[in-house]
Amino acid sequence: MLLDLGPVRKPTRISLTPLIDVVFILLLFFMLSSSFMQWRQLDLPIPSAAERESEAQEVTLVRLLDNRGRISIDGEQLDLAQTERLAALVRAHPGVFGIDVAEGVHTQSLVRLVDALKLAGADNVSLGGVLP
Amino acid sequence: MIIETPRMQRRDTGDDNVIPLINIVFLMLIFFMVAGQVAKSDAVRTDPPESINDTRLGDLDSLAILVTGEGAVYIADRPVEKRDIRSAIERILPEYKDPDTLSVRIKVDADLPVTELRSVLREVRAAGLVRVSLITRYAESAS
Repeated sequence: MLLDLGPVRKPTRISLTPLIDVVFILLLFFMLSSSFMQWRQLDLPIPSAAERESEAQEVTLVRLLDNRGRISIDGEQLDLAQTERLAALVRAHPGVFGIDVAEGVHTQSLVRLVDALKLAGADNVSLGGVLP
Repeated sequence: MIIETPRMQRRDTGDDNVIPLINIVFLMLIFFMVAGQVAKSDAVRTDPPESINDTRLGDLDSLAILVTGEGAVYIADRPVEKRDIRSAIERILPEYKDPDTLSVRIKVDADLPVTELRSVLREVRAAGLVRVSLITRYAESAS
């Protein structure tokens, strides 16, 4: 038995325009919603009782004086850009660096100081004096 | 003499000249899908400080606190008065599974004075939260 399937239809080409529409919408969505920011976290731990006692050993006070990076270590004023002098001072003071800030200093300056001390080779930097 | 033009071949080429466009658009689409992360945006725009610090964000449950450059505080995307920080945290805490190990991520604007940050932190500590970290932007070198 032969079925009458009607005349053979010529295959019509599928238009690409709807595809492009959808792809454009997807592209716009991903472009607008994706973020390329790389977030990091700086932990602010509470010093434990044992640490607090061991910190009694030797604390060098580093005071951040302004937003341009003037600091004073042990009574000596210097700029954060003077990396060699800073590294020498860090070598001369083993133990903990306690950070203190002057009035009106921004958070960015504080973070920059912590970075500079780390780059200069300080392992123990304590923010306990600034941030409780 | 009649020269036969190859008209038949060029009959249905209406879409052919958009194919390079589609190629580029597909490449961009794949790039943004793979490289970008779709993230929930914050209630308010903050510009955290840059740092060379390279500790990635942990996967633990965390409470987000935003502090703008003017000192306005947002806890879990809701504006909070400065003197209400402690009570707001205590109100939110039961919503989390394990409040004892809850970490706090403070996203602070780079221009916020440290004294303001200190008062916010004091309130957070007073609410009994121990694991506090400051969010920074990763920068290759110290600027």
